[in-house]
Amino acid sequence: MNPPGHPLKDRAATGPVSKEAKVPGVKGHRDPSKLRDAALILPIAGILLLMPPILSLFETDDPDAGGPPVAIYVFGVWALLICCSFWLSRRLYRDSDDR
Amino acid sequence: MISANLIVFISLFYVALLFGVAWYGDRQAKQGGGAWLRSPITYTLSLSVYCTGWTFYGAVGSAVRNGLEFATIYLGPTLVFIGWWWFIRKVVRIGRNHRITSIADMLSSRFGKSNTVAVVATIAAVIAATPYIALQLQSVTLSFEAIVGGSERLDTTVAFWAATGMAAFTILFGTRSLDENERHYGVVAAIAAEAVIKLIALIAVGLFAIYGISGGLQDVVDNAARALPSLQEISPPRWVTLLFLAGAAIICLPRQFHVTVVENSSERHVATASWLFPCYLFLTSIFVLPIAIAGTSTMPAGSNPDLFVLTLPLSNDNDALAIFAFIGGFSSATSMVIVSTIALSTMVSNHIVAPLSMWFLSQQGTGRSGDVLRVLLNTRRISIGLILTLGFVYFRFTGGSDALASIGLIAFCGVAQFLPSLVAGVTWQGATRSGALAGLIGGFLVWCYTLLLPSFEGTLIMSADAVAHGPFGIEMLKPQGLFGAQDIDPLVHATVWSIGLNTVLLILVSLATRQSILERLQSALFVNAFRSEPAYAMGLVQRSAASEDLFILAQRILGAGTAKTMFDSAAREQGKLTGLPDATPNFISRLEQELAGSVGAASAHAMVNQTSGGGTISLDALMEIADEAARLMATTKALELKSQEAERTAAQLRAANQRLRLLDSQKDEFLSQVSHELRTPMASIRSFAEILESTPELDDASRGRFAGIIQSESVRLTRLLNDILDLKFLEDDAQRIPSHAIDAERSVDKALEVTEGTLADSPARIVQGRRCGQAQVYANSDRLAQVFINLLSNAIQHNASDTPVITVETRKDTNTYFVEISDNGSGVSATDRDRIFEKMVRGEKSRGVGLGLPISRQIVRSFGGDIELIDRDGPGATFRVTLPLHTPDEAP
Repeated sequence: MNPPGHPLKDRAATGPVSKEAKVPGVKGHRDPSKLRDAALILPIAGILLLMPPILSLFETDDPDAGGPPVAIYVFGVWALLICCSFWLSRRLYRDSDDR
Repeated sequence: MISANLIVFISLFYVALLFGVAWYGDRQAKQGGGAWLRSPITYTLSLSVYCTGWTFYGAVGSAVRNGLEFATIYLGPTLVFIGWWWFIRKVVRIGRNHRITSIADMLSSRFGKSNTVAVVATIAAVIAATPYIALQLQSVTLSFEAIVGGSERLDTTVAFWAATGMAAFTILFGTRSLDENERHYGVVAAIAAEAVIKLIALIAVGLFAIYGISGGLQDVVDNAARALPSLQEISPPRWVTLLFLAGAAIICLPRQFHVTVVENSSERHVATASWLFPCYLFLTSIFVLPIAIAGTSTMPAGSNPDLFVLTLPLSNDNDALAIFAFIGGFSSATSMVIVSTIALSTMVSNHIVAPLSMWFLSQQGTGRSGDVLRVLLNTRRISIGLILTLGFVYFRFTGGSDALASIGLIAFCGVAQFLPSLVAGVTWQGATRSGALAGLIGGFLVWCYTLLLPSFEGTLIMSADAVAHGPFGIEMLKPQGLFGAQDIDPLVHATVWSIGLNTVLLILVSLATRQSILERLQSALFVNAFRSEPAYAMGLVQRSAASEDLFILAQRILGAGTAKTMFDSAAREQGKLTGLPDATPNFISRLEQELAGSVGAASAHAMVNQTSGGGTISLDALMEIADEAARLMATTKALELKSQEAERTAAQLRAANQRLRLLDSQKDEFLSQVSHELRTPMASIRSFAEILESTPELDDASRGRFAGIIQSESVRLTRLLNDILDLKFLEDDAQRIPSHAIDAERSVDKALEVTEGTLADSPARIVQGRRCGQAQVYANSDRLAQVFINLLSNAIQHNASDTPVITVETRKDTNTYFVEISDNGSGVSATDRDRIFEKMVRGEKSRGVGLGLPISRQIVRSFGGDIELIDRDGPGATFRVTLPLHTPDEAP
């Protein structure tokens, strides 16, 4: 019993999407649910990589160290996160059923 | 030195340019053009209203004072935006579904369209924004003083005129109309332009610092550690706290909520912003470093690092760049103030003034078209002025002596109080209105006490002495060291206590209180934003009203034109060509949502209820929605179980199928062998019969011989058929051979008798070995004799020896009877050993059908015994028949 505009309608709307769903584990094919998991992992990985215990590995008190390792590390992680997000958002976006 | 007049002139020119952009954007949007206004790039640029005067000037100051810590302010939002799929996307979807106008509206709508929640959130937001707006005024003043080389004392007239100008711009472009979606294309266009300008200005100064002051990129990197030793280390508690506060601020700051959620025109824009906005922040932050390094290396000691962006070009006589930097800073400050005041004035007018004015106007008794609209627009204009005034007053009170970053952080911690309610609101259906209120109020009061009041340094409410030693000298209540905490960073201290108390209160009070029905509906719609259709929930609230009254209400709020368009389209949808639409519950809910887009959910709900006289929510329908998630989960679970069951059945079917295939192939093999076996005697019978028929001259001897052959072949045929029938019968009905307690030795004797009778003219002989004499078994004596005959004749027939000798021995132990029949033939070859008991298999060199052994085994097994081929020393084969002995008192 599905009245018009029933919540389940949204589920049904994912139909054509799942048709596009690719075989997981096959090279060059994507599984949307894996992408969504990756989207969840990304900020968590970012948080972990930017937590003090890891940052402290790069701390130094040598005044002649030149480019401070911890600063280089932080900006490196930052750039990496942006690249991953760029890659992920374009794919998630294609697979999403948003308006 | 640059003259003040020139700076004022340039600033005015820049502001005029901004007005032009805003006006052009508004006009484009109104004409339906301006796709660029709704592009993801414009959306992302408008998000960068996050980078205010604090960023433009304060980030460098912060980098000089606290090293790498400045980056957390931009890393926090980066982390939130790269996780857009899980949080921002949901908030944006809810915002669109429910026509949310501000963060206070969001919380109020979620917690049962409660006006109390909206009022508390509005007051909190205004108070938290005040120091932040003051910060912008301070940064404009500081930069102006720096560039014209004014006195050390901060000139408040600059701040005053800056505030006035910003108020004018905001009032002009931010409150032109009550847009049904609360979108301001002109303003967005202006802040997007400002975003570009401030980024380019900062990068320009950064490049100047690298190549104009330091000796290139390599030099900057080499000097980094020496110039800024603080870059080498971080303070863990502050680092984590700042990451958290910045991450919370990017969605909880009223202006960020406004640009991210309210001004959003497509969820797809969020996808682009998820990497482009972090990119913007990254660029901003990375150019802060060379400026900070060049500043500390070249500027005289004691100069304000907050102003390095400006003073570096100035002291190197690059006036043009200095002016450009000034404009960049000015852009940062103005865009923040404009969007903040729009967001805050919307909250004030929707949540504080709208309910009051509705009451006031209903007292007057006259309802003129657009009167509420006018009141609200005027309220917004007044609130914009008031909010800027508050900021100005704060700026004067605190004297603007603080570092820019620390003022901004006070505001961050204040707005972070929205986070627990916001997160719980969209993820936890059980969060209640009372819980949210308790959390908000508790957290907010702690923030005021531990962070905001101490920032006045004794000029407001608390004396300096009370801040330093606790009110009335009670050390335990020291604002910056509650319960005797010592040597803890005030920001970390305030964040932990306020957010901690906020969250705990939210959870505990939510668990202890109950939701109203409307709250349950809203919580289900919010938490299941991706699953439930808002349109479905529309008809849930059962209300009735006169269409005329609704039309009047809509006219008062939306204005005559908009109201008429909306009612006309609704009437057409209902199939009416003229007149007003029927006031169905669905239509009333839709109208409420349209109004919510202008005055907020709580006010719209109250107004519509005033006209329609309250209403009831169909409980059944509500339960259906509220339990949607639970039901879906149950369904999924059931499906999972079913599919597991189906899988098991399929596996069983597969196994059965495999067995059937095997049996089928065995049957085919059997049939082909049987037909082959049947054909041989048939062929000889037929050919001899033909000879007899076609050659009548045949002599008697031959005729007799042929008839003999025909007869013997017929007998063989009959026996074969009998065997097949036997086998069939035994396989079908093995248990039904009529059995009695018999003496098995007698069956052996009978078999020997019969067999010896056939041996008359054969060299073979049968030797009787040891016999046990008597053995009681439960069997059928004829069948048992048949088995022994079979074994004996096999032994004779398949014996290649010239003088076949068959030995028969019997014995028994306590409960088993053994019969062993051995011969002196060549034995059974290893390959045949395993197969001789299968149907239609014969020894390699033997004749015969090969049904004897399988039949015999079948018979013996039906009596509970077995036949096996046993190993024995010497030549020949030995078959052993075992049968269980029968004790008379034992039932079979």
